[in-house]
Amino acid sequence: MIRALRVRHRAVFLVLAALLPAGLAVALGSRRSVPPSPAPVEIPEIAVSSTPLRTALVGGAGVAVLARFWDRTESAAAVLELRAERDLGAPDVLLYWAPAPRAGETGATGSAGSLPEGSVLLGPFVGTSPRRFHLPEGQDRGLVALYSLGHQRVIWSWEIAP
Amino acid sequence: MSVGYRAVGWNRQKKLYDGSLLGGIALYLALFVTLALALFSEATLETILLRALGTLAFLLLHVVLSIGPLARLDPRFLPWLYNRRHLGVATFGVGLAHGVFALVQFHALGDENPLVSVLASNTRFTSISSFPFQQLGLFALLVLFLMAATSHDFWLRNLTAPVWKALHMLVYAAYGALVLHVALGVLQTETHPLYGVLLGLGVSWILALHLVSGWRERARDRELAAGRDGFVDVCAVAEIPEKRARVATLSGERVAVFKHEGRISVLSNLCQHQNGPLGEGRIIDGLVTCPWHGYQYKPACGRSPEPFTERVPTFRARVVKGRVLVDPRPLPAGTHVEPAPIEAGEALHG
Ligand code: FES
Repeated sequence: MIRALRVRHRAVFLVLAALLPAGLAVALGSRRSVPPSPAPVEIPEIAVSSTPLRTALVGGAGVAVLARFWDRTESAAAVLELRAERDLGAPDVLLYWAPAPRAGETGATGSAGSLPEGSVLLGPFVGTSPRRFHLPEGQDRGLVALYSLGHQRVIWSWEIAP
Repeated sequence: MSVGYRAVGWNRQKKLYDGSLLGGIALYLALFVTLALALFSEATLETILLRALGTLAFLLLHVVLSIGPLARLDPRFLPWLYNRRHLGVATFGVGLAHGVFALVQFHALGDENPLVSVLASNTRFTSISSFPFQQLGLFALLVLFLMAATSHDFWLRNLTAPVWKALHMLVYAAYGALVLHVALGVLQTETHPLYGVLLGLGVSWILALHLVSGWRERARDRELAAGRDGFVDVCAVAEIPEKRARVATLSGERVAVFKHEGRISVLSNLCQHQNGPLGEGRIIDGLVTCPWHGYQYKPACGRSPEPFTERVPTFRARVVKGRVLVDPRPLPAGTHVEPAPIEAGEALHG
């Protein structure tokens, strides 16, 4: 290396030695205690009646999923509780709800592996602890679908009818 | 040292180096993915791969940045310099894979162009915890691309070694940007103390290595004063080992004073290839051999043997009472200077 570059190299590292530790300290010191990115969402605070209306053990994506359908006493919205017995083994799984067609309508169904039209995102579904999700107000008949964002397809779906 | 240009002048050593490099990369990725799948059951394979590539690129950059100062501090690290550019290109490749993966995972599912999305989706430059860290990564990736793209000897020769070196010093800006990319990005949500400690150790290692080696170089850059006749008393003949050199700073740049076969020859210390330190090399088969990649020069005229065309400046020298005196004015590159004979008595000491 020529001398001028050696001098520049020394200057660059004196600057980096001053800036990098300071930048690192500020960046690590100002971390929020609650991570800003969407973490797995637990919804334990939803008030539900003491006994589930229905409980079903269904096989999906090679994993048993326990689905409970709860009535919510103080409003018309129902609550669905799901628990996977093991990890679903698919990346970025989201839970969708597709309402069942009313009398006289044809059912909205998607092509194989895709979500039915009019599906509503209920939330992310990860891990094996029970998770509760609000269903859209006044709806308790429809299709529950687990959709893998990574695989871009429905990995499991289950029809709910009273 | 080559007459024409070839993509890569493969030899056994390069094949071994690159084979080990590729094997190491594959092993790291496999280990990372296996361990992460076993330890973090909630993590998706996409996220694990993204992190495996990101940590690997960052780790490789630490290795790349360590080789130079380590070789300055201890010649046993010189073989690592031999193919450092291949390591740099591999670092860019792994970093690019990380960047493309992140682009597809986080920015390709919307109706916006993914690159525009990276640049425009977050502009909170005044926030620390929500700083657009992706843009720091993009900047570093562009610098690594520039370096990888100009890493071939074709660019080195056309840009000239000092310009090429100056350009490649941008890697330090890229390193700074990547440290902040990690600290303002993944470490904002991954708050386990171990990750912060590892990053701190990596940064301390790089800073300490470069500061210590830079400091040592500074001491060696101290210039020697010329005597009344204009010649500089560089050292005693006995201080130079046979077929090796003593390095001194004259007229603002370093020269290499070689002793071989009872004579003294003085050349510029700067190899024409990448400005490697000729004075830290040896005379092999009668030729001064650069310790970095093996370019060779004739001691008397500073020219590479035919058919190669590299030349370095030479200097006049004489030996008086066992001391080597050198004229600090460089002669045009390739100028023949009759090597200064060492007096009989002095040769025995050497
Ligand atoms: S710097 Fe490459 S051979 Fe000298």
